[in-house]
Parts: sequence; C-alpha cells; structure tokens
Amino acid sequence: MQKIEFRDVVVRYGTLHALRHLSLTVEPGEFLALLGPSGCGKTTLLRVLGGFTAYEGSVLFDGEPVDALPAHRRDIGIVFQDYALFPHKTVRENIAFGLRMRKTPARETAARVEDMISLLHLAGLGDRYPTQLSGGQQQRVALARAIAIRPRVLLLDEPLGALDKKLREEMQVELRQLQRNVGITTIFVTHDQEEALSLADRIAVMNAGVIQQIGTTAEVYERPANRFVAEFMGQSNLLPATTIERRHGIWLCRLAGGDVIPAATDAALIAGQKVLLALRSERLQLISAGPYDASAAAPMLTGTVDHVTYLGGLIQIRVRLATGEILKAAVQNASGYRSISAGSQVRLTFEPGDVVVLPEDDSGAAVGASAATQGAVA
Amino acid sequence: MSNRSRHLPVTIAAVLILLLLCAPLIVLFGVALNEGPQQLFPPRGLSIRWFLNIFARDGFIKAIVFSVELALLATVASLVLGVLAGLAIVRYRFFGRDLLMTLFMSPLIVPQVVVGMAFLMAFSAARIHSSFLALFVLHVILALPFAIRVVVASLTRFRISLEEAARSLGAPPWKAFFLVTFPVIRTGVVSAGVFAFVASFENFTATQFLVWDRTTLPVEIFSYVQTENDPTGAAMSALVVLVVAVLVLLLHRYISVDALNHR
Repeated sequence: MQKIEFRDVVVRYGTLHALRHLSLTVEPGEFLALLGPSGCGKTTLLRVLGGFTAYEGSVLFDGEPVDALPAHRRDIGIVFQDYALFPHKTVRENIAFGLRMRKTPARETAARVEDMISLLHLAGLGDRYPTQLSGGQQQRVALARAIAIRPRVLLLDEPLGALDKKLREEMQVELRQLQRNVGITTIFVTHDQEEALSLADRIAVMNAGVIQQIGTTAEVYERPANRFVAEFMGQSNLLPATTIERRHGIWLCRLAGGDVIPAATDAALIAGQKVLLALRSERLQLISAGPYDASAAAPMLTGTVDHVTYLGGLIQIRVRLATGEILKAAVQNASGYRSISAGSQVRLTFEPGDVVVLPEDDSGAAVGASAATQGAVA
Repeated sequence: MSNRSRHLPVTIAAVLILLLLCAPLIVLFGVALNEGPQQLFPPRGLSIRWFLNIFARDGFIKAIVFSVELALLATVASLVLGVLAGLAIVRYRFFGRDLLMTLFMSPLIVPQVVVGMAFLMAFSAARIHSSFLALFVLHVILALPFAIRVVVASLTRFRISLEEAARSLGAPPWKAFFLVTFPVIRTGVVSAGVFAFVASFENFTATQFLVWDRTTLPVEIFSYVQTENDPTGAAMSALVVLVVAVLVLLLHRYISVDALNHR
C-alpha cells in the first residue's frame, strides 16, 4: 500500500491553468474520490499521476518522487472511462498484457490471470473478445487488467459512467469490496456525487484546477467549506446574512428580510460580518402556517409555496419568502404533505446545527488554496 | 409489387451503367480469347494461346517482374511514410499542418504529365538514368496520398486511451505502438497498402517518361500494341484485370471478416 502525494502541481495548457499549485495526499490503502464538474481538472490530475501530461511540481509515491519516470515505469493500474480494452486481444490476453510487459514467467502469468478471472467473476469469458462482452463485463476485465500487475496505485476514471443505473449500483458494491480485499490505494475520478459519497473514504472536491475541500464524505457533505462545495454537493439554499452576536455558542444572523437565524458554527466570525448561510433542502421541515407560536424552540421562516415537484419517495417544495427569495425543501412523501400545493402558506423550520456559515463571497480560488493545504497536512 | 415497379427505372439505370462499365472489359476478354492472330470481337474460335504467348515474350516477363518489384517497394515505403505522416498529422497540432496535408495530397491533383516531365528533367539534370531509382521515388510520391488518406482515417478513429492503457501496463511507447496501435489500425493499413500497390502498378502517364533501362507492364503493353496487332496485348491486359479483381475481392473479404471479429 502506497502513500501518494502531489506537491504544488501545476499544469498549463497555453495560458489556461488546468491545475493551480495543487497539493494532495492520499493515504495508504485509502479510497479517495476526486469529485467535480467537467473541466475542473480532475482528469488532468489523474493524467499527471499516470505520467501522460507534462507538469510542474512533484508527485511522490511513499515519499519518493516519480516525476522522472515515464508512464510505463510508474506501476499504475488505470481503468479508463472507455475501458480501453485491446479489441484484438481476448479477455485473457488483455489481463495478461501487463504481466507480459513485466516479463513475468508464463506459468505465473497464467496463474495470476486465472486468479483475476475468478476474483472478478469472469469465468467462462477468458477466450472472448471485448466486443463480445456486456458493458459490465468489459468493466470487470478493465479492472482485472489494471490490478493484475499489482500496481502501486489504482486510478479509476469515471469507470461506472457508461453503465445503466442498476448495474452501476451493483458495480459500486463490488468495486468497494474488491478495493478493501486487495487493499490498494485508489483514486477515483467522478462527477457523480452520489457515487463519490457511497464509495470513497474521503472526497476531494475540485473546481477550476483547485481542490475546494477535502475531507471524509460526511465532512464534505455536512460542513461544506465554501459556496462551491455547498452548491455542488446536494441541494443547498444559500441566504445572504449579517452576523449579529454570539450567544451560548450560537451565532445569530440577520437575513435581508429581517428574520434572525441561529447558526451553530465554530467559524471565526465577528459581529456585523456579511456571510452566506447554507441550508440543505432535506433539513428543512415544513409546517402548515397556523398561528405563530413564539415559544417554538426551532427557528422559523414563513413563505408561500411556489411549486411542488413530486419525486416519488420525496416531494420537493419551492417556497417563496416575503423577500422574494426561493427556498427549496425536500420532504419525505408522508401524509401530512399531500395537502400542500402552490399558494399554501407554510413555515419552514430547522435546527441551528443544520445551518452552515460560509464566507460571503469566494471565487473558490482563495479558500480552495487553503483547503488544499489543509488536505496536504491531514 | 408496387414497390418493385417503383424501383424498376432505378434498376434499369443501374444495369445500364454496369453494362457500360463492363462492356470494354467484355470486349477485352473476347479479343484475348481469339484463336487467330486478329483482334476480333466477338472472337473467332476460342483459345488461350495468346495468354500463353505472354510468357513466351521476354519483354512482358521482365516488365511484370519490374512492375511487381516496384509496386511492392513503393507500397512498403509509402506505408511507412504514410503511418509516420499520419501519426504527426493526427496526434500533433503544429504550424502548417493543413498545408502539409494538402501538399501530401497534391499528386492527386497535379497532372501526371507534368509530374512525369518534371521528374524526367530533374533526373536528367542529375545525370541519373536509372528507371528503378526514378520510378521508385515517383511511385512512392504517387502512392503516398492513398496511404496517408487511409492511415489518417484509421488513426483518427483509433482511441488514444488504448495506447495509454498499454503504457500504463508497462509498455514503452514503441511497444505500445506495435502491440496495440498497429494491430488495431492494421485493417486500414492493409487497405492503404492495396491502394498504394495499385496506384503504383497501374501508373502509365507519369511512368512512361522515366523508362530508360527498364520498363513497367503498362508501358510495355502500350508499346506492344503500337507495333503488334495480335491479341497478346489484350490477353496481358485481361490478366491484369483478373489479378486486380482477385486482389480487391481478397481485401473485401479480409476487411469484413476482420470487422466481425474485432469491432
């Protein structure tokens, strides 16, 4: 199991920065997801690691720089987005390719190929050509080929993207179990946050060539570091507010409309500071507007239902506040909510702990840089 | 029924065009099969003696050997150059890339009489009077557009991730090329080779300027029919048609079988 470090990596395409002074540490045996929208630099990072792109800075495997090593000496297993199975070779020949390049003795190669075939449930398919396999089978061959060489690190580039939903879920479980069993340091590139959340130990959220935040799946989801992460992960309602004062460890913040919102945060704030409050749509509770109960412990916002979207298990409700701002609430499809329709007056409540306080304006870069440094220290 | 009648005019047109294409060939074969020494159509009596006569004539044999030799060498050379040029054109963005591509294609556009003339003058000025050398260079240049066209098309379709996969698995760049890239584009290279071979083998216009010490088959046939009027020239031409037809059929079969296997 290898520790992988990126130190101050820069990749430029002309004047365009694909990666800006990026630093990142992947712990031995860890399953790290690189999550971000297309063009955020996540695939570039993978290509840096693979040795397919020129870069500045350094990549280290267990503390040892590999920058001088060309792609074929880096000992990296890659599962490409399109699987990149050799069409003129059988499943067995595909899996054996890396071992043959390493001049592994024929007997050992054959044994290892058979191991891979059974490990990835490919029995009976060894003599087929890639085109004679289903998408899921092709994916497993690509995985078998990548781990047959016992690589120092496994890179997965959106490997599940081409599969249909059901198969994708099955493969997620299989992939995770396999990674645990083989115990290989794995970097997984995806734009699908659900996939990242369900598979990874930690997630590095990327945008504009910078790591915006790195942390465990729960940290990244529950405590987004900035506006980008809050908006990219799940569905957040963002409300501009001004801090008033700290009371019993809770910051009181005033919204534009005058409502005061308590936020349980340990962010370093001063009174009168402009901030953004992030509220996850699934943390909002809806109550039909009755007489206002001043003694209610939970904070409340009042508004009019603008639109109701029926999603089966969930109902998504858009509520327009008096100030004109729209809040989205995702509530469980339970009997109480069926009467809610456009025009209904409702109250929204939530816990102070559900409010995340974000810096008012961040382009992502400045905060991202510090988040990336934290990532390197962690 | 109505469907068939609607297609009737198209069918008739297609058959007429096919007849038009085949008619000269049918006459050619007919003349070649004459029993007597006249070029008659329809043939009077059937015989293959004029086909056998080809092999009795030293000029034809030498010309066949030279043409095949030349075509094979020009094919190999144009394929090597074509693959290299194709890689540069497809894989890299550089200044003058489009110009280069146009330049490679220019032998298809520049009149062959001009090309032949230019070669004649250039080689004469250099005092090189070797048909082999001059024609080898000429035929490589003439075959190159076909080779590059097909190779560029195959390389454009080729997924670069295959080569990267090979490299990540431990193959140095040259091994990745020969073990993965080349086998995958092989079909394209083979068809490029057939085009290149035919382009060299059948060339007459430019070639006739450069026959000093040795002559190619098309030029030999041409000079034969200028002096002789027995059906040997027709038989020789018919034989060429047969060989080319077999070649094209083989290519067709090779490509479709390959397509079933790997694509």
